[in-house]
Amino acid sequence: MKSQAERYNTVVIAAHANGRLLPETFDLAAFALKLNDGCPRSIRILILGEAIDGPAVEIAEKTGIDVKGIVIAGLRNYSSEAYRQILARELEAKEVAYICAPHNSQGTDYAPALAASLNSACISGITGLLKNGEDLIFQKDVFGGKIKANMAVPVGQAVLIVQPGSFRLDSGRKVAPGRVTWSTARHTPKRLHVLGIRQSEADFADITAARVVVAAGNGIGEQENMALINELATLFSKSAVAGTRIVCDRGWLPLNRQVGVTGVSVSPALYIACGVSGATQHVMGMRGAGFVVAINTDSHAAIFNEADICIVEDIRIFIPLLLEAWQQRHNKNAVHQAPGNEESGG
Amino acid sequence: LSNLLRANKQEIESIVLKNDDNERQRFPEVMVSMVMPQKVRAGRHIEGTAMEKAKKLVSILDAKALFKTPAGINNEEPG
Repeated sequence: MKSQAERYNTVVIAAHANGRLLPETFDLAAFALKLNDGCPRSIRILILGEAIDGPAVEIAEKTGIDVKGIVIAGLRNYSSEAYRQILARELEAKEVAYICAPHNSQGTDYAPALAASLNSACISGITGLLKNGEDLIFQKDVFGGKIKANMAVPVGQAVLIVQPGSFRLDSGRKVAPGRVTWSTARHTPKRLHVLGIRQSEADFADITAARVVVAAGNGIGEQENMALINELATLFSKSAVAGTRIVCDRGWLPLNRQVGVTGVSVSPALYIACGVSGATQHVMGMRGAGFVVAINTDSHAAIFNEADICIVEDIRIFIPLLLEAWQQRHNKNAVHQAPGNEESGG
Repeated sequence: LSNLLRANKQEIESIVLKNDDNERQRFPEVMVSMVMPQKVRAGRHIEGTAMEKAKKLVSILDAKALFKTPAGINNEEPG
């Protein structure tokens, strides 16, 4: 017989690395609170690993949600095998309706396998939560963000993989800290041995400090077209060139220029998205921009929902014309400002 | 080509998927509907030829003082 204390409607799997909580964990807590009408007593956060005391206490204090730390000797780094096995053991006998994992490199790794182990439903990339009476609708982007799919789980348990940045914990809310309890588990690696995780030496200072960011997406077509993006950036002072994940993965830009969930978030005065489709993972990193111009050949591209100015054009044709138009205006202004031309009008 | 010829001679094994409740419960998530995403920003479309659009965009960005000045000094007001 399960005790009352063991009954939770929702379990959140905390994400942490290098002894620190990842911000996604707080987004998941916000999602779980929304799922449970703001009631932290219906939720439990699980955190797995070797040295997890600090992160466990931190999240209990900041969210007011009960935390269970599962200490696994030797598990210094994230391991999909360990997470799947230990979480499946931990959750299989519990009547938990929702298990929340982050849509990051960890969550997308272990959560679908966990759902398979638990014979649960699995919805990935969740960006929204709608309530229609008792019915819950989980919203996710499909077709590169052009369409939102409304998903439901009519019966049984569900593993919900939530897009980072889609839900935010109110940092101003004052809460009584949640309880922290501990248990231990053993894990002997079988098929997968994690040798270590090394942090990238990426320095995002350039793009986070820039006043203008010109971003390249898959729509630029070829690496040679990066020259156009670079040239466009030269029109602005304090500018930087950035890219979407696919552009950086292809090596057209260094990884430290990637904007988005797996890159960096930027808040420039102007963001020019060139050939960027507007996938959620990218958009989450540029929503803080003051003014957004989007240039894309696809008039239905999701990026146009995020832009102040929308231009349906091929950047290979449009950027040279933009440079020419700027030059014409620059020349005109120079003539007007030249000595002896004060009365030339215009 | 030899592999293709060999493959053509292989027997095809058919798998019949059961359509009972147990099978359906293995995939219990359902798509209820699809909707267009909401616009986060105003999203003003610039119309005209490519050159007209380019000129309009230059004008908009110039009005917002976002371009470099001829001397390369930022247009932005200090502070």
